[in-house]
Amino acid sequence: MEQVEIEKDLHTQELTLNMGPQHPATHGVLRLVLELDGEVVKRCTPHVGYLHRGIEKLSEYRAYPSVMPMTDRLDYISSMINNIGYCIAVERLMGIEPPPRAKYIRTLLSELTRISSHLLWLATHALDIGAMTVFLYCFREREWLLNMFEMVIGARLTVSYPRIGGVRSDIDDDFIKESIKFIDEFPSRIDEYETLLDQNRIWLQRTKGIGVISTKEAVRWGLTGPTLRGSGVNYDIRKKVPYDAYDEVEFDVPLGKNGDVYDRYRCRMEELRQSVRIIKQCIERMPDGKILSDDAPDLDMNPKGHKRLVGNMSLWSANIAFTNEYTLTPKGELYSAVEAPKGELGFYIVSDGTGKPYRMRLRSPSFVHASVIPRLCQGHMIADVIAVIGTIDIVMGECDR
Amino acid sequence: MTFKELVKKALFLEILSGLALTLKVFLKKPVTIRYPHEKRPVSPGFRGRHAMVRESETGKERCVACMKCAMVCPSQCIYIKYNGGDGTPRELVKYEIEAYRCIYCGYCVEVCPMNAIVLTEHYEYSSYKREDNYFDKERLLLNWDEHVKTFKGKGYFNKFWSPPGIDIKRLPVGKRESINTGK
Amino acid sequence: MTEITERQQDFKQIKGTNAFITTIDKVVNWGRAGSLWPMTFGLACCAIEMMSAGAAHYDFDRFGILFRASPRQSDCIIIAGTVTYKMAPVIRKVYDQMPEPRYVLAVGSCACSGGIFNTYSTVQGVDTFLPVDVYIPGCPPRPEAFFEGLMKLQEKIKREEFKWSRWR
Repeated sequence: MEQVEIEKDLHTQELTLNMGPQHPATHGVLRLVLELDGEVVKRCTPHVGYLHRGIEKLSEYRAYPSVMPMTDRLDYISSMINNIGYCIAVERLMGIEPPPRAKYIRTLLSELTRISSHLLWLATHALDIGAMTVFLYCFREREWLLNMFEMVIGARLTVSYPRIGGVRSDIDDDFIKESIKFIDEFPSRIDEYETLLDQNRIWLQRTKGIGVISTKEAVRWGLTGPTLRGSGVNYDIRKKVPYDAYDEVEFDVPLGKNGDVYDRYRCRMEELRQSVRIIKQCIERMPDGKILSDDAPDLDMNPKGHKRLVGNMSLWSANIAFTNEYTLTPKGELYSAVEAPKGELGFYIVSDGTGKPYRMRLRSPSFVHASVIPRLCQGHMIADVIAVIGTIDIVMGECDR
Repeated sequence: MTFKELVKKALFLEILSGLALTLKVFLKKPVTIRYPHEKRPVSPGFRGRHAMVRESETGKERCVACMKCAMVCPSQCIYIKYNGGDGTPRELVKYEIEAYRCIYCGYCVEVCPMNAIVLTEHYEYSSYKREDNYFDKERLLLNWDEHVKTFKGKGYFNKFWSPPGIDIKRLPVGKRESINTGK
Repeated sequence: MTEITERQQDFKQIKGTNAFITTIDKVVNWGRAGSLWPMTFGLACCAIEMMSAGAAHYDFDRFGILFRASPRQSDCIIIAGTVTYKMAPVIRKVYDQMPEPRYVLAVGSCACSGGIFNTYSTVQGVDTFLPVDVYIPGCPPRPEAFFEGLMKLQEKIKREEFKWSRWR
């Protein structure tokens, strides 16, 4: 009886706490408004839009090939897969089939990108939870991968490597040698990370039973990628709608059981091993031949055999990609998706026949996953919010576009 | 909890194994590159600072003002002005690149029929003023001179300066000559 | 009479001793340039390269650069990434909380000039609302370019005069 009266006098009330957009652990500029009852999160409202750059609108004013550097900046951690996803969408729209060598190169590089993305996820996730060493170890390998990308294309992060109908440049023997060295070395490095984390009681206490989401609910929230597979749903675009050379290589889809932070961590660690397996097969089966299809459009979308317009005319009227005189692409709409490291990355393109998209809509996994943060951190402590943000691997560039 | 697990928990075995790993790495050679003193070699074809190729015979630029680079540029940071046209050869008046707006995608290099605009491997050119990296034609030619001075490889031609997957015979004349002569 | 040798400009040594004579400017600037604490402030792609530069391969710590999470404890702010109109007031608020003297580095095309995103929602260069000291080009810049920019900033700090005094 007295206890109640004391609490009445204390006037406890809910505390509204603003987390972000400038916060070291929110992976960019995510802003969460938390309503707290002591330490426990009662409500959580994510605010997005702090990195809205208008990529969708901007792409309506660029020719199809010139849109690609913009997709680099969507999910800047795995820019190669964004490029490939965009190229596949445009290829399906224009009916171009890339040559088999290009397909294998793309698959190889996608998986290398997936490894680099998961490494960055592990580094930051572990750093947020409090393991500094993993951050340094992960960046050691990631730097190796970035050097390999630089070897192929001459850029570290924003690669712009694939082209519509193929890839930009051929990979040489040095790169193949380096990849073989990497896949021989890398599995032992995964073991190193697991030595640090898997049995670590601090890690287990911070991750087990946190952010649990059931199979049914995960599907209903529209989750994809490792976040969904952590709950035990076997859904992977690489298996369901194979693109590139994924139907010719063997790999397993790792699944979790409980759907908590720890299971999603296990899923991603297994995916690292599967990626190594795919890379091994790609190198073994790499076919010879061309790297760019003959039907592939030029960078300025100039139709084959068309003589360039001459005369002192203004820039944009000279660019025939923007005029309606030539039908450069079939009219219609198309949705195409690839399995990005974060989840399903979809491109919905509406074409009006000119050389630029009439409308491009992006289905980015991070945006869908941002909506599930309130559900995941309901009833947990404020420190677990950090673990939840880390586990869905949110990238704001992709979320806000 | 079995006896084994209890012993593991009491003796901090899982944490000790992690510490053993860090100790092992601690004794390895560090991976740190001591930047100003030693530099990691840039792989050939790195997309760095822009330059306009200076023709060694005439000392002038190669550009013919075809406007292709300005058209494909995703960030539209290339500004070109020319006289003539309509039958007569075009004369380049202005060629400017706003380097702080450029995103280094390499499209201009790939599409150039004359191999006139290139991206060199130079990447250290930060400045105190925004105007310092607004490259006009003369500055771009000077960049090329600097590139030639520091370039150690054989010939000036780079594999990323040509469009992909196209046979050398089918390339435009300027590009083809560049590949053959290595300039 | 003791003999004084000039080692550098404004930096003299009394011969045969460990005693040095210099200006207060030089000492203060030397200390300031040697321990530049930037704020942890990642916006977009360039922040990933900033993390690379801070990790084992490049190691910011060699320059005395430690990332601080609070603006009150930091000397400079690295604007690494695209700044939108929604984010600009937040950056300004963070900048205003930093103690004097404070420095701003604009990293990458987006922060320097808006870059590829010449749209309705993107700020065309952070120099529209912040006094930028060093611009670093690249999209994103290599970690080496980060170091070059920071070294330029250190040079700038070393050239400063009378910034330590409160009667400035």
